[in-house]
Amino acid sequence: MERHACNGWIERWQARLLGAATLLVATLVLTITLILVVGAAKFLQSRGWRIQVLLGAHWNPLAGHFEIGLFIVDTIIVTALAMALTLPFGLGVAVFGAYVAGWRERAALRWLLTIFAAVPSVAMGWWGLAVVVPSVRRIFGGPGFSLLAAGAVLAVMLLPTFSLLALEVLDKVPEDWHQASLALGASEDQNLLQMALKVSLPGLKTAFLSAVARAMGETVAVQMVIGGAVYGFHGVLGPGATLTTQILTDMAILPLGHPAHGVLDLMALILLVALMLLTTWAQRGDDRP
Amino acid sequence: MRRGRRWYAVSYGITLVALAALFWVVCLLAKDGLAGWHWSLLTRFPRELGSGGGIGPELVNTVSMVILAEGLSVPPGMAVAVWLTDYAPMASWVRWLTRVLIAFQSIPAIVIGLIVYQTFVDRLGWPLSVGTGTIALAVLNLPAVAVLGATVLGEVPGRLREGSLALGATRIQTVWHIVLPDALPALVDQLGYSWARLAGETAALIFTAGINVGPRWGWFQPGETLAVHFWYVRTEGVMPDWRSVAAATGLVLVLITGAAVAGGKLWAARILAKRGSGVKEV
Repeated sequence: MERHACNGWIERWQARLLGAATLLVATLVLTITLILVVGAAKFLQSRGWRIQVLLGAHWNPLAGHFEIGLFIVDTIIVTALAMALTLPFGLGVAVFGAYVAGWRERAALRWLLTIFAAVPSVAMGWWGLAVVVPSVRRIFGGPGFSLLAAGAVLAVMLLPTFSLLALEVLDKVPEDWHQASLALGASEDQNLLQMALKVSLPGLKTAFLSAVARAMGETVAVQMVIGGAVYGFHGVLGPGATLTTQILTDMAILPLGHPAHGVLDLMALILLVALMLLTTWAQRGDDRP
Repeated sequence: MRRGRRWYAVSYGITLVALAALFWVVCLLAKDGLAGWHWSLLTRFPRELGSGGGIGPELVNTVSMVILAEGLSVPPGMAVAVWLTDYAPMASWVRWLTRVLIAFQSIPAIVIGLIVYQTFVDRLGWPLSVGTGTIALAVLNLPAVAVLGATVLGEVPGRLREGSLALGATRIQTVWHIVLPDALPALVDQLGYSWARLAGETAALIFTAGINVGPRWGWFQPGETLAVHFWYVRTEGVMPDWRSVAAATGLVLVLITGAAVAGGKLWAARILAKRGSGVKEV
């Protein structure tokens, strides 16, 4: 009896210790969010809460103009371009790895994709400068530094991770279902398009959204090839700047004491909110059976 | 080609194109990096203006900062993972916490860089240094360790836990002697990924660890890493041999990240092989 009570006491403290670690991490996450919210709110207040800050495109920190609409639009365009390029290639690789390849090829493919997934984004940016930017310049004219180049670099960067995730999802379709579908007379194509891809849709959505999150949050690979133009929109083939690249560029120009430092917090907060929405959306499908 | 398998052929073609693009990146890096390769590159100090600079301090900074950041983030992160899988009540706020952690797992690194810069450099007056960069990497890694750790621990079969608890083990004994050893290969695998991610991190370090190196290693010495050096030399370097220095730095970096992932996988496979197949089949 004595011993049992003692164990209960120790166990309670073990649980509390682990709970304290969770509390610590929760506090950290909350603190980061609060810092951004307070910084962004102060900045918006100094601008009179004008919506123009989010929608306008007049960016000139030295003259006191802080409208970040252009960066939001560029972020959306670059992310959309990257996903439009990654999706067909990633799905193709996943279908090959899950259904077409023999076990030897599949093992080799997984190894390669895993190693490629670990290639740092800065290396992708380097490749973009060496290959993608000159190609865009040669094919479409213009400076080459462009939203398109950024999208292409991101697409190559996301490809291994997205393919691996999609491959895992397609792999989880039960063998019985393939057998049943084929036994009912479906061709391999019909089985793939009308059964396998369809039942994998929730999982593929999660993989897709996590790739979107990475595309949106990538900084250096984009910064190296996008050109950093902040005055006006130059089209998909022209230079631009995203939220992440602009935070990087202006962190030195707008130090903490600067009255407009809060605009960096605002940009970071927008990214964080978008990320929360993506995560919530991705999880919603997973909760359903 | 059998009829009705057109999309299989298409996927085969797509895979070849995709792999070609990925090989292009690595092979170009290898080609340019090896063009001006000299082994003393790994030990020399970098040079801002003259040619012949090396990456010795960057190499030391990268390895030491990754080890320190893992050391700072893995114990609390794994504690959170254990709490989430084995202790957390079934409550909606726990689901929300998990969701927030998942979002923070893919938080843009530049946001972490911004926060750490504001807090440690601007408010506390820390220099751009090894220490500040380590903090940034640890903060970046913490939610990832918690989420991925919880995923891995969640895959340990419930019957192992039930068996252990039924035999009279406490919860912490179950976690320590049953759950963690069973999950060890997957954890080692994840550690490899995590190592590669931190070693390749650039955006969070430019304004925390800085773009310079000090004369010796120290917590408050400037802490440029390989990834930052790669970025800096390629985008702003003015040394005459910036082209080969950048590519060689990138090559070393890619080799390190590749070795981390491959090492994690091989180590995990070795643990699984040593364990033998008989035990888990019961």
